[in-house]
Amino acid sequence: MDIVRRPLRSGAVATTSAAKNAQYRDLVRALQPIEDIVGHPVPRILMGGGVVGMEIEREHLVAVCRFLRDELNFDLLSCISGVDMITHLEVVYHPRSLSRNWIVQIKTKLPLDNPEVDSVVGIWAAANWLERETYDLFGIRFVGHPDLRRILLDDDFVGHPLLKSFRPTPLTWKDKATTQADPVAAVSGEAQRGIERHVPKHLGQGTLERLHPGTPTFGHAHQDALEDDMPAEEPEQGSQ
Amino acid sequence: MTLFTQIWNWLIDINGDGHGALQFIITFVFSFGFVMTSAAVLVYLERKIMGFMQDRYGPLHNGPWGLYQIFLDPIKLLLKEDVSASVTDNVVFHMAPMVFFAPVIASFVILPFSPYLTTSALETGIIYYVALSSLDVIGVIMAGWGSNNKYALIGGLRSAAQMISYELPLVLSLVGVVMLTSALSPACQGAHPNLAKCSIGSISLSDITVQQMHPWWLWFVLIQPLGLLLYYTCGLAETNRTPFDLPEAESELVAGYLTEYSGMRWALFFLGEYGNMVIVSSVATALFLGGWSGPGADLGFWTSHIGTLPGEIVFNIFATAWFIIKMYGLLSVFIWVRATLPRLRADQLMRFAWLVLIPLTLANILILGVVLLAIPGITLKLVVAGIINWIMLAGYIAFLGRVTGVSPVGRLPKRAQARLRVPEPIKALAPVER
Amino acid sequence: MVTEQKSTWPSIGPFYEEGAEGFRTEEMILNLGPQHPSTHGVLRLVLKLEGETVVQCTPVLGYLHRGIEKILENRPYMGGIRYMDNADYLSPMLNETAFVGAVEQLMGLEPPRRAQYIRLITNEMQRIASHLVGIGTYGLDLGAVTPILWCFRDREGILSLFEALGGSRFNVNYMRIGGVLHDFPPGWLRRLEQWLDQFEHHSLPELDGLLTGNEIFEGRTQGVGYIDPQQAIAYGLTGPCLRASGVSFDLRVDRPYGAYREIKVNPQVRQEGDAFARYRVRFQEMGESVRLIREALDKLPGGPISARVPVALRPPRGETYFAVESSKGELGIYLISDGSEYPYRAKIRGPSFVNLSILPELLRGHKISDVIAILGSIDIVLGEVDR
Repeated sequence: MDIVRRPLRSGAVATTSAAKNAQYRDLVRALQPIEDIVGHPVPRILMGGGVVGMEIEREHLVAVCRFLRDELNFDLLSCISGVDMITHLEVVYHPRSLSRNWIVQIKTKLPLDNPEVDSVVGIWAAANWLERETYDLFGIRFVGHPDLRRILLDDDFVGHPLLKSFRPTPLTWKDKATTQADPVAAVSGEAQRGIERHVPKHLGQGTLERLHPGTPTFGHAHQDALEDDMPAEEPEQGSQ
Repeated sequence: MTLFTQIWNWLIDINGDGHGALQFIITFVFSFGFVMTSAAVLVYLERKIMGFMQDRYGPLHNGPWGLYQIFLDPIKLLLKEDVSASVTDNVVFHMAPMVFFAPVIASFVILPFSPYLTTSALETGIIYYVALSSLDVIGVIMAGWGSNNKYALIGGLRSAAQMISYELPLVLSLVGVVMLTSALSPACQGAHPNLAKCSIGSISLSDITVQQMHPWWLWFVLIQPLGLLLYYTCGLAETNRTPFDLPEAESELVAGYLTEYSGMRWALFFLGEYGNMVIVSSVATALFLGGWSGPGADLGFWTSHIGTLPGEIVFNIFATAWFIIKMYGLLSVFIWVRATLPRLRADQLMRFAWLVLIPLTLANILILGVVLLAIPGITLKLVVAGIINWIMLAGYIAFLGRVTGVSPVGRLPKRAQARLRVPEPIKALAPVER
Repeated sequence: MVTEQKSTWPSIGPFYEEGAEGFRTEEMILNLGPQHPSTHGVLRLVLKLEGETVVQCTPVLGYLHRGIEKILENRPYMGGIRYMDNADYLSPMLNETAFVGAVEQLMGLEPPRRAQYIRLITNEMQRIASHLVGIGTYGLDLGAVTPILWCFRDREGILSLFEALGGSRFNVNYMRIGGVLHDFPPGWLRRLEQWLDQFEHHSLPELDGLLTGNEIFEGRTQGVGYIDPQQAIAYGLTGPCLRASGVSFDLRVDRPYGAYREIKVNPQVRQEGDAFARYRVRFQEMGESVRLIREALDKLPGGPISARVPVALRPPRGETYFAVESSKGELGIYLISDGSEYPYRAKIRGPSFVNLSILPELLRGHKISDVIAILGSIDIVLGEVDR
């Protein structure tokens, strides 16, 4: 059982008192069974703000989280963060126990070539969007997530921006419009920029519609599916 | 007779009963001009009064107190480009504003501004008015249909349903007034009313107005306050005003029937709505608030002091002024209600009409009828009827919260429930980006 | 040239479904688009409707994503404070408090007591301002056009006080690591007390009378959008949404920071869990904030308003998680420092982002007209959702 107290700057008032240490001693003691789950001693570090931090391997993550929620009543998941540590990726979880007013930090290290970890959606429903965000910004895949897709960025965005290796990429050109069959999917992305295309409306109205860059097309410009029924009347604008 | 006498007779006294073509011309011009300018003035008043209620100035810069807005708003709407999207049914789309606006204009004829400025030929005032307000529904449906927009169609149908639902209590709340005129007519009074000759009351607005003047302060609102409140509530719903303005609300999802209209077409709907408000307020004034009666509107007083013709003129001016003051008072209440209340949801709106208003109006008629029949003596009849009605009004206000308060939580229709699946977690996902 | 692209959209379901008898039943997909008067920002909801009932709701986010977290990694700590204003743009002071609090917790630095009290006062003023916007816009969504103008009129008082204090009405950039930027200008405290008096005795009762007892308002909000407390905790809800479902969790009480260790907060909790309860919690929190400001003004200590901290601050290596009770919920900053002037990682846990995740679950089974009522009652700010 390790409690590491951070050295304070000179002149600052000490915020961690012996009484608080006693409170966190209970928490540290309660986290003992994790060592049985994981199979080896896990150092529990008292960090600033009364947060007790642990590092868990990704194989045992779901088991540990389930233990936390079921046994220790860590019912509110506050935060899931991804971190790019250049040599590896990390996922950091911050669950809270409302009844006992505890908060722990669970860190998982992921290798760069296979950044996958089990999803904790089955344990905390809040993890749904938080994991989607982490996937969106870091590329970390959460196995078992029911709906892992980008949430903050465009659906066809290339790259994961919060990685340290992300550089603003030049606009990529795609040969066709990237609309899906879904009529409410809007076209976004680079292929539409800078080119004007003439697309016939297929709702029986017969008016030609000129697409300006950035116009959402709501399925009208779906050339791929409709090529079987009607030949595309668009003049090729050299968009290759 | 000389030609001059014939023309004079035609102008002044065509039937020998004091009404002539001159009266018709003056009344027509005044009526038409008044209601139309009233609509424009009402737009300005709404912005100004709502502004003051919201702790801000309304229009301020164009003219003193922003009064030039009255002219500038219609001019702006006239100057707008006539945008009509490719619509399915051109005829329906273009005719809808006119179909909506025409009954409003046609309703002007029943308004009794003063004894001179009225067309007494229209003996069927109330029925005529109600029939015309039902025609507005056609205009709304035409607007929704012609817009080539499924959301506009849904909005139009919903608005039409709302207007139709509130027609019934509107008419029923006026029946009480008609019953009162029946009780007050001469053949029905006295210790032994001659029920064979007792007239069934009057549905002409000018007659009902006159009946409220024995004495001049005995307005029907004192005897039928619940009737006024119910009529006013139904008027709010007929004219699509808050809290019943779901069809025109911009923060609701489904677009209303007005979506595809812009410029002068929209202005016609708009003027129709405000004209409708003016009509509703005028009818309420004539039926409940004594119309043109008021201190100063005394024909005998003025004719005896000034002379016949100037006396009549001054009397009519006072009468018209009182009518306009009362009407604008009710219009201000329209605006006040809009500034205060949030919007009713569609199902609450319909429930309110069918489950609250119609039983209430029917109960009103029933109780009033029983009182008028059972109690002898005209004064006692009116007093008892008035007391009972005020008690009903107090009960209505007190218990209204109970009725509209509860909102049912939505439930999935069975078909959707069967098809609802919780998405299964997928074990491993294929890469989705290239 | 047909590119076979797998749809990345969830299975909303086929657009046409064959019924048992073989005829098609059509479910309508309605797009409550990014521009809409009632979505409180650029939020897009794709609703699948069956008649009037919402069967499925898919929020589409990201229209306001500006990459604030990435920006924070490329600015020094003091330069990064101002980017926190852009997250929840209706409560910038609270955002800044979270960020500087995280840095101070990382360094083990305790700001002077006067600075902590000033932070409490400005935070509570900001909370009032944010709740005023939330309540005003909620009334506007439901059709009441007057409360929003009264709320904004009261907000003007707060914003002009902020302008006198820090130079800017909205994004003040007032908090500094180790304290605050300026002390109160002369006359500011008196103006604040005047504003508090007229707000508490005039504006709050006015607003109360206009909305709370209104049968139409109650009819549209009571029983609508019920959130079970277990469900609320499972979805990570915090703030007024959680307290309206009966769970008394307030970071100012349970994990006090700054001057909240000396001034006690009464968390406003309601048991009903519907939209009306959320509205009432926010309303009562405004009254509670007024009381807290008054208490802080009474106990305001003297002294310096900031610790001496270098401009090009280099905190020691380490990581920390610090959360404040923002007007929307728990606003947490997970900060990793590598010893340089720039943060290594600054993750913003936006309460509106997590609160919004319950919306698809919540809207299922409600009618279209209730969508706006429920969305407005959660009171999201898109700047915090998208960052």
